[in-house]
Amino acid sequence: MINESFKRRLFWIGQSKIVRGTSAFVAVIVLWEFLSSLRLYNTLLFPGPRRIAMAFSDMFVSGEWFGDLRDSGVRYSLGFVLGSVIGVGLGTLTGRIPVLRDTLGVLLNYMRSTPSVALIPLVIVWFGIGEEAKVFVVAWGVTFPVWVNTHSGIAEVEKEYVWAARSLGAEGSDLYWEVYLPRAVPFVIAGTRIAIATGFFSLAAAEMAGAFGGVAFRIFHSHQMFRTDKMMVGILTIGALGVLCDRLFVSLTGWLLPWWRGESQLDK
Amino acid sequence: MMVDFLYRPEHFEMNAPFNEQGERAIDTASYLREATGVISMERKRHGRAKVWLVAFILVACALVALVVYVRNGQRNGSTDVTKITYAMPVTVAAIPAYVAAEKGFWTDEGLDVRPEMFSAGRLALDALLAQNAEVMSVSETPLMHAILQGNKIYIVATVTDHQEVKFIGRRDKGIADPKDLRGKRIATLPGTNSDYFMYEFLKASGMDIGDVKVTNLSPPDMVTALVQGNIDGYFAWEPHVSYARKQLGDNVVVFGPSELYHGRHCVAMNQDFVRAHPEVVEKLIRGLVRAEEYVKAHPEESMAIVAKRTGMEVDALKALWPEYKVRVGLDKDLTQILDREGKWARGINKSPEPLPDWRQFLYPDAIGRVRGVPVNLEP
Repeated sequence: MINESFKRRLFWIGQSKIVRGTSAFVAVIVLWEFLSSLRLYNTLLFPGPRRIAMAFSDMFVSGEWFGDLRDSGVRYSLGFVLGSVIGVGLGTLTGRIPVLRDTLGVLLNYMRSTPSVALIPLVIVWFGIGEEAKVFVVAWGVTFPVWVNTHSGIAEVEKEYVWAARSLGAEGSDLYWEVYLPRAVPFVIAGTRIAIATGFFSLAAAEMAGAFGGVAFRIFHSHQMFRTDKMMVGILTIGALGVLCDRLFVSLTGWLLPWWRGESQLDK
Repeated sequence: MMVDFLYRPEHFEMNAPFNEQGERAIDTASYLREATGVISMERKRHGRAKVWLVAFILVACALVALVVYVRNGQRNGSTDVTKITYAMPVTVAAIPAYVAAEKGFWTDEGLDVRPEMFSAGRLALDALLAQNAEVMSVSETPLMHAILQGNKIYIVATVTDHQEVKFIGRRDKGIADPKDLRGKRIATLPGTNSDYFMYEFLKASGMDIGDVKVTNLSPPDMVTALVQGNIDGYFAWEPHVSYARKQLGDNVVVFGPSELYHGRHCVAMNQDFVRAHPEVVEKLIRGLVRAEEYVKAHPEESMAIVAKRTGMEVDALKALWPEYKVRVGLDKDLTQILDREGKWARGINKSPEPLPDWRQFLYPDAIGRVRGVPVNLEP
């Protein structure tokens, strides 16, 4: 007979954010391992969690995983920063200046539909196969979500705020720093969070051509060599990196902008 | 007890209106009404959680049942075995497969073969192993990797002998001799026969992989990168070598495989399927043998068929045609090729495991019956 206090403890454990957040992952892993242990499908093509964990252990000990993480991390960080800066800059310009919105904005809108992977042959022509090419591809994937959101944020600043600021003597860059940018911050944050994911899509495309290291390269290489366990390690690593970067970004915005309450239910 | 646990009276007190004395006026009836409502809400929440849990378990069970059902269906061969899918890569080496499909030789054998085109043989192999195709063809290297990783496949025939892998380098980057590759930036596609050739070529030239800067590129990207001067050379198969040669003219040097590499375009099937339906294998091979005869008798028409499937220009194909020897068969040379490549694969993966007996992955019965001569695979 389960006593009342044990029931309560179970209830509060169930209410824990960590328990709730990991429960879906644990359930999927348990089900996955169960199915793979029954050998109901070809486990050489889609290995179970235990085999993947063993491959990860080998890659971890040999340093291969860290090497890939370092290569991808450098490419992603540079591309992400570059893309974000360009996105915010372009969004500010097209959001504030009607002529640019009608000219450059249309062009950017057209360009943002082009997936990074389709650009690879052109990127080789423009930038070769060095690191700059990969950074460019990541930046491409990051720029457009940031641009669209920054543009919307800047364009939607209420005229009353601008009039009020002007009546207090704000002009030029003051208006930008004191009114436009703070008002657009929620949009920029939303765009940047989307860009964290799109940046990883682009990283995968970039590393599948012209690389000999990196997490996405390892996915491709392991597939070619029939090491599906290592391929899965790469896929799971990219997913984990995406979540980690997103959480870091949310924490950073919470720290830098303590008044910001725009996080979605997923963040709570 | 439960009221205290789920519903805290202080919440109610905090929201109670003030009386004239400035104290919270608690209406007991309202308190009980609200407390009962909250408890009911909590019960509903718990009820919903239980429903979700049951739903999750049901979905999981349904998933398992579905997988079991599909697998049993495949194992029992409940599908119509005369209707089969052939996963074909886009490569010149698949000449007999393209011709057999185009000329209806398999239809004459009573088979309804549906060709599915794949950009790379490795992807076609995935389709076979995932049982989305009954038969596929590819050069021997991806099959060797698949066998080393424990996949249960049979090579039922080889259809083309070739030496299509080559090195192409730029003369203006200082490449005129194999030894000039030292320190150069070279592209390859890992895990392919051209990757194997690269290792063998470097070894024969007194170098190893550390002596060159290797990068990974798909063959079409290699052409662009070489023409642009981003790489000094690459190892690939035709037609990707001739594409770069066409653009760079006399500025390139090409090293063929000579005795370092002899390739086979192999037809592969899952062992379970072959054991369950040997008659289908025989019919497939009969169709391929007829295609071989057709290719020899009608090279121009065959080139047109291959050009249509691969998207190559007929003129370009004509220049490469002599490099492919169409011959449907199975011989012990294949086991030696697989053995050499297997040793290479074990070496680059630093795996101490012994190589398998390759003959366990060859199925000579069907080709023997079709040719009327038993196939000898003994070393």
